[in-house]
Amino acid sequence: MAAASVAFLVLVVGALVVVRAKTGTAESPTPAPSMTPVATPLTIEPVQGATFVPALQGKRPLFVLVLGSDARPGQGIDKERADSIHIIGINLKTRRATILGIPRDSWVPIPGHGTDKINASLSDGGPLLTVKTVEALTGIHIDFYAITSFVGLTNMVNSLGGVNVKVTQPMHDQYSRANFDPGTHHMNGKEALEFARDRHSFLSGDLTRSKNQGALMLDALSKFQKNFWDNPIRLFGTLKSVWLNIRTSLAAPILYRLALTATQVKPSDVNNLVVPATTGMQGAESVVFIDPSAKALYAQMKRTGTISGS
Amino acid sequence: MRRRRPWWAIVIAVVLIAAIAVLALILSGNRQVLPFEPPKRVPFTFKLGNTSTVSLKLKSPSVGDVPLSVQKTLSDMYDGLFLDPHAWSTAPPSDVYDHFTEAAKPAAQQDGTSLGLGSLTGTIKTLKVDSSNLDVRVLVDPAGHPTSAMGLVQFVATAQTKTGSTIRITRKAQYLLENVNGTWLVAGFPKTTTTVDRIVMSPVPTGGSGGSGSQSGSGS
Repeated sequence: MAAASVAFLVLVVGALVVVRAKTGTAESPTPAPSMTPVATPLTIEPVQGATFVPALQGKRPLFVLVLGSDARPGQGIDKERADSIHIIGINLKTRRATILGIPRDSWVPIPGHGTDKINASLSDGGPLLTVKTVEALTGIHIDFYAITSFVGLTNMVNSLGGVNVKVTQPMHDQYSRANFDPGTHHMNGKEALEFARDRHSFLSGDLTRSKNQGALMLDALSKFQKNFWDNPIRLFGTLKSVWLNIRTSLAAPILYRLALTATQVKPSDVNNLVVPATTGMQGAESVVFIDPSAKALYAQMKRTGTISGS
Repeated sequence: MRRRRPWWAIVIAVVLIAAIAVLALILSGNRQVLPFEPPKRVPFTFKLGNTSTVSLKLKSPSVGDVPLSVQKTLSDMYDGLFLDPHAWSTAPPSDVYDHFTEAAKPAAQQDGTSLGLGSLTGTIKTLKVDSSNLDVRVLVDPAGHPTSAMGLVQFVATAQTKTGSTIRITRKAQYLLENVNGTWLVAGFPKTTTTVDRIVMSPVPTGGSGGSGSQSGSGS
């Protein structure tokens, strides 16, 4: 009986050793010698595997000031006026964001330069003065700025392969050359620029234009994400295009991280707003007066990076 | 009057306890304490295909041995995910996660099986690599430093399952790698697609040319 038990144990252990030794060889599944694989896929089971993309982490929201200079080719990008001014706030915990447009004709104090249209801050003192002006206006600390030009915007949209833009009302404007009927349009860089520049097609002029510029950013985000998740390797090409077409205080590694973060912010979680304002006259100039109610929005955005509601 | 236990009964008890301990160690998969030398395997190495750079400055700089470092990291990772027998039976060995950055490691551990054999884990008896290819693209910052790399992987293996089927596993994936203290580690895995197809084994007709495409013996 005892001998049988020992023999049994030896057999079990020995068998296990053999089994492990066999399974340890990754080299030879070796089908039976008389068989050949016909490679007929009877069962095809595509499996989407795990995904993970690193994102910026932080306890407080991140704020980027995005400027569109009206510099033409040959002009200094940061020495002309800013046609488009947007604060992008990103809540790094919730991965929600808000694009807050400030109309370029907003009549605001410019530090050291009296009161003027906000777009003059760029020509008066470059992007850093625009940053200071926006910070003084909103109380929001701007972490980084990025500025582009007409050509820069065109190039970046083209590098994405165009964007799909929803046009909500007729846009037929000889100044910007925008010529769009309502509906969704696939726009190349030139068309996107025309869409972003048009203010004459709207009763509320600069306010609607600012909102359209924010919408264009969201459309670009959608396209960027589609490109990335379809084929992640396109990220590097997009980054290069952005880097070559902006001037920014962002260091390249931060831009890279920000781009990875942007892959994870759903466009539906981004609120696109323009500061509440009315148009009016200041002397002979047509300007935009920001409504005092904007202060509550600034405070909310400063606290959370986002503004709820529309 | 109580009878003393015979000496051989004590020996059997001791042997029994020792055997159970050995079995437990074997079944736990702890290679450190296996009572035998694990079989030697040739470590897997990806075939390095195209390498390219994307420089944030117009001039294209040299990226040195970054592609080779990426090849080493991903090869070692795949060795653990697919070729280590532990990955066939239970889960990839824990050291496979050493190839991930600290930020990516928790996600990798959580998705450990789907990064590797996924639902096939536990069903594989043996696995052999048929082909592999790794393309590497390196992002170079304006100062000329490689910032990040993307590894595009194609990996095809044939496996025998415990039920006797032969399957082909085709993995296509893209990995984001970053330099952490001189080592290129996996920082992200944005895209992973695995296709499993069953291979029907057909008898080779004696003297025949084969390749008739016979589908006899359909895989169940």
